[in-house]
Amino acid sequence: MKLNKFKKLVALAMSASLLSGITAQFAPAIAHAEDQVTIKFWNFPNFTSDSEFKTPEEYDKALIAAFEAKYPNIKVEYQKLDFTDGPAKVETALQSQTNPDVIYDAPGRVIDWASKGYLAPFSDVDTATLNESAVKASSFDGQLYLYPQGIAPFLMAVNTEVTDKLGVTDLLPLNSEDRNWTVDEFQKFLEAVQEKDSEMIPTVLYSKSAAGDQGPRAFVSNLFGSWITNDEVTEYTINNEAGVKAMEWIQEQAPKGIIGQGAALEAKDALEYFKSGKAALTILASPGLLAQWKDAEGLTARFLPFPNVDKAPKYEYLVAGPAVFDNGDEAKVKAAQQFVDFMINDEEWGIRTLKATGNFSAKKDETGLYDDEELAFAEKLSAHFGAYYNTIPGYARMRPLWFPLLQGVLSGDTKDVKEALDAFVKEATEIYEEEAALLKQ
Amino acid sequence: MEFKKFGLYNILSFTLLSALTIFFIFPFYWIATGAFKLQDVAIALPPQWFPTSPTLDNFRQLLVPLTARWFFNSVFVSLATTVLVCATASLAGYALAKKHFPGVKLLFAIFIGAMALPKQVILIPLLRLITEMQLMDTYRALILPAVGWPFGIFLMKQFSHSVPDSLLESADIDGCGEIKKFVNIVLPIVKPGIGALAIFTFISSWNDYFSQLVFTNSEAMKTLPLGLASMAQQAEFSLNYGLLMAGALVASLPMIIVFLMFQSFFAQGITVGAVKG
Repeated sequence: MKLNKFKKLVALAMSASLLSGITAQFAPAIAHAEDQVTIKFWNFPNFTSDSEFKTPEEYDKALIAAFEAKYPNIKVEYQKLDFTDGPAKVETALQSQTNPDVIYDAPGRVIDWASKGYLAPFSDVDTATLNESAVKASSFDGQLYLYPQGIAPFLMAVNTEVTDKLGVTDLLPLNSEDRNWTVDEFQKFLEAVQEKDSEMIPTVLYSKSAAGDQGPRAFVSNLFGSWITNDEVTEYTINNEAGVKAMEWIQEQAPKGIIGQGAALEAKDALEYFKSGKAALTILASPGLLAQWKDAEGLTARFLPFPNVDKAPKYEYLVAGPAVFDNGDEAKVKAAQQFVDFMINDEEWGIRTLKATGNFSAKKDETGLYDDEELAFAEKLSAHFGAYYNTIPGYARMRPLWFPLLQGVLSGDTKDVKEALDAFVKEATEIYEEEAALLKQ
Repeated sequence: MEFKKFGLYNILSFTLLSALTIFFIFPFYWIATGAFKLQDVAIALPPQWFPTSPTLDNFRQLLVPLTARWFFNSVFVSLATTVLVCATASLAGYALAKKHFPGVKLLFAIFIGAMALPKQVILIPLLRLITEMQLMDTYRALILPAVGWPFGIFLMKQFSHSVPDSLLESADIDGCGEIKKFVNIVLPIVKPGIGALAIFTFISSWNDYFSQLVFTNSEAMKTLPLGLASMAQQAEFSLNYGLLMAGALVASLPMIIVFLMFQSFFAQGITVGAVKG
């Protein structure tokens, strides 16, 4: 009996000590619950160009540390994403409502989330101070959902070390101010490269996967002056006369080998050939990529516009910036927007973060940040951006239709390019109408 | 005539099998040789079928503490999952096959039904559950969802049927307890099934890329396939093929070892029920 009493006493004492421990642990948390906010920031390797940090995640962590030092009541939990499987991770997280509060991304995905009601808008941002094209691309239903920090055109680049060696640099339009060239001039250059060195791949028009597919689309669109959609981004137009002519040109050149064996290659391969000096020219280049090529041996990359019959190319462009998810907690949304504001507008970290992406500022008055001839050239092209169609309803479902279309033309399987383009536009339009109708519901 | 016919058949079979072997083994050969190529050789055109100047650079890049951690994570998660799946599936399979209790058929039907569900369907509620239970980015998040694998239970139930009822009844008469009966009588008989299940589970767990992707956050909790994929891709359009292949080669070694260890069980396991006695 005594023993039982003793056991009970011990149990009571243990329970009390456990409870007091729990209370002691929880008490400070409860006391500070109102002030302290924790937000989650997920980021792809976007900040690759800051020389102080070896990896983009090191940069992300430094940015967070600086923010937390300035705003001690906000804690930022960081998650690194990869470009290959990161989008799938975000989608799964969204479906299971375990998504982040802030993500740094592009309008393609962001506007899709905005249309589904996942995001909180940036209502206080003065959009008049930002690049119009970037604002248009980052908005849905008149509201800004991606805070555009960086913009950059997608264009082409040539390796002048290779062309100098081959003695074909004078065929390039590098000496003119706008560097524009016609399709004939472009073709002459590719043929000259092939003639001088049969081992050298003049360029690669790749079509194996959706990664980097903006390059081939911009290339095709520019040749004879078509575009994937109309300017209002309400209709697919690439099957017009100019689009057909462009595909016919590709169909004619592919067997010659001057535009590479792209039916079996993707953007990564094409860029590796360029970087390693196996290809003279790449149809996918951007300021961000230029920064990545800086240390490559035997590579001096210079930007080139897409060839265009009228020497008036238009550019697909990149818009990058943070977006804030509305996870149903006002304090978190506010804290997340605070973090975004720091990332873009902080005196030190705003410019630094932008420069770490290698992009140009979306702020109209923030120009000439880079002391580099190529970047100065690329910065001027923002006046020639084409319609940003990555936000068209059903864009993600249209992309997988594009590369089989181009593959067919490159491999010679497609005989009638008009028919193929019509089929592409018909299917893409059906997707667009279906998705647009869903949005109206 | 008969001899000639037999000879021709053998030659044709040998040729066909050799061609198929080369066809199926080629990707592995490509990975194994690619692991010794630097980036410019890995992407060379025409392809270099055998590296003329092989390098160990890719393997040197793998020799970092983080890779060791990823390797440990993969081994630990796969082994723990295998042990737990084999333990639970053999117990459940035995119970479903040999124990008569109300609802046993319904329970089995539920397991069979669960087998038809693709993993992607349960991934989202599972992620929610793991987050709610604050298990995100832990070993438990990587191991526990795989335990109670319906296929494993189904497989072990089929094996447990081969345990003679008379043997179990004799054990009962001799006063053998349930645990002793299971360990001393059932387990030795269903051993080939456990061997097959161990291989299936280990491979499935090792290759469960997507679950591992969504259930982990930190670099330290990544498994080898996940870590190598991010290591080989440092920017959006850049991929170090040689490094990726070296990683893939290293990542495939444990599976080869496990397969070699259990292959005799595996052969017995997959032929269960093929020959009726």
